[in-house]
Amino acid sequence: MRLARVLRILVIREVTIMLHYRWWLAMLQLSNIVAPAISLLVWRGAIAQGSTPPVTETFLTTYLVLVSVVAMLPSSWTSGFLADSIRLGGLSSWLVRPCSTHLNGIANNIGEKVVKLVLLVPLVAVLGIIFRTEVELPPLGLRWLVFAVSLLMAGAMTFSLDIVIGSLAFWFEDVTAVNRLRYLLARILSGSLIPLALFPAAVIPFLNAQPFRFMVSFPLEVLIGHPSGQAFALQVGWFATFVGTAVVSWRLGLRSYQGAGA
Amino acid sequence: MKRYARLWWSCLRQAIRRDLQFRSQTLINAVASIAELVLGLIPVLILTGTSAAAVAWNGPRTLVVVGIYGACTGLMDCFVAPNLRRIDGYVRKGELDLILIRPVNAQLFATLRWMEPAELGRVVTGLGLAVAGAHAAHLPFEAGLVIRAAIWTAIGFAGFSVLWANLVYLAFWFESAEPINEVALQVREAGRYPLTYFPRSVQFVLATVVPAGLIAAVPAKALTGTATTLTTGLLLLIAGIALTILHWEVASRRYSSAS
Repeated sequence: MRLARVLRILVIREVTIMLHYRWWLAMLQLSNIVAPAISLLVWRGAIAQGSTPPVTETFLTTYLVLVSVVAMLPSSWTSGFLADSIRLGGLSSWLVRPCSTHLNGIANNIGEKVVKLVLLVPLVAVLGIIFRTEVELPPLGLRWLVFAVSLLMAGAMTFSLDIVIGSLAFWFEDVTAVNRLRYLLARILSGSLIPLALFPAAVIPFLNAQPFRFMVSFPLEVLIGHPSGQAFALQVGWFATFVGTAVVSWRLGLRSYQGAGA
Repeated sequence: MKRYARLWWSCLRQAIRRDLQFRSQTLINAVASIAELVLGLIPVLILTGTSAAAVAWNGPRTLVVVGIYGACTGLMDCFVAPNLRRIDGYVRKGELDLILIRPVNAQLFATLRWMEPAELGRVVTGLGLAVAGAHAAHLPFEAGLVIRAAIWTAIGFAGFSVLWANLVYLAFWFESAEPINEVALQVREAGRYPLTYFPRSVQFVLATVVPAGLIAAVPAKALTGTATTLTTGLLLLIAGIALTILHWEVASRRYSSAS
């Protein structure tokens, strides 16, 4: 209960701070929608010229219209801040407080999501209106509920991965290159650029099993596709693995933390 | 001119020394840069794989486009992007003072001062991909066509850099212009695809106002001997450079330093 109260206060503080950066965030959202819009243009162009992808045009269009918002919601930008706080010693001030730095990280992510969502939804709506003939959403009901659960787990996975990468700063000076590699892999393997169903059949079993799928593609599959119950169990498995790894790496890292200048 | 060449050479030497100082970071950055090119190839190959018969762009020809794109953007990310990313900081924190007081052309210095040699790995890999693709697609290796393609790539490189520079100069007008770099990078991604896949109106935009299409798609077309004449591209580029110089002149007058 106390935790929820602290989180609420931290989220309100973060939203207030984020509102100062509203134009900065608006431009960031513009960049978020450009990549799916380009994919949408080229794929629809290819279909118009006779191409036959392994998914329907409706699925492809709905996927690419929604992917920017579904990729934004479970995303996380904690690793850089966390690595900096470890390297520069800012973490010390959180270690002496009766509140975890990760609760602050969660609040920061929720805060930026609230503002980003307000800015991104109109852009997605414009894209949806342009391609309205091929966009199809399910009616409100159980599917949306499962989608929300899947999205929450995706968010927890991404945040946990961020903690693992940020924790590397306990042992390495700079983790930006690791972060860059992670974003590169996630860009392709999460399905944030194109649906994983478009990949060649030979790699589909691997793509279906790897964790990045459950960070973007799977929630969307829940909403507009027909994923199996087994896939949902796999997401729960990856969720537990990621959270567990984050807890272990953080605890191990803290043992070697010296604080700047200490 | 000779003075500027000497200055540029000193900056390059300093950049190499800096990269050698942080060797593991440089190595990971070089690997990530190449991985970016290879992973970026996947969506394009999937697209052309499902539509090769319909659109007449097969795998090898697509490889040429992605290869040229990788080489050109590698050069851009090595020599231009590190500077453009800093412009917002120069303006916001008042660091432009240190550039304005130097006895050099401030705009040129602000555009070419910083370099990231690790990105050059992508240039080599990209050129390798382009040559392999051209060989597999049985494209004729005629000197005239290769020179024409190289000139188109240079126009694309300069044209897109000019657009990007104009976008980051918004930092003189607005306080939160930093993410415009991300917008430019995402828009540049359109250059990875053959222009044929885009609607006609978008093709026109990508060949003129937002010249991402000139980075690789038009040069690849030039290799097949079907691209249009260079005159229009060169004229547009000269106009773009003139506008950018004017934009800097007007925008830098708004700069009030940090003090």
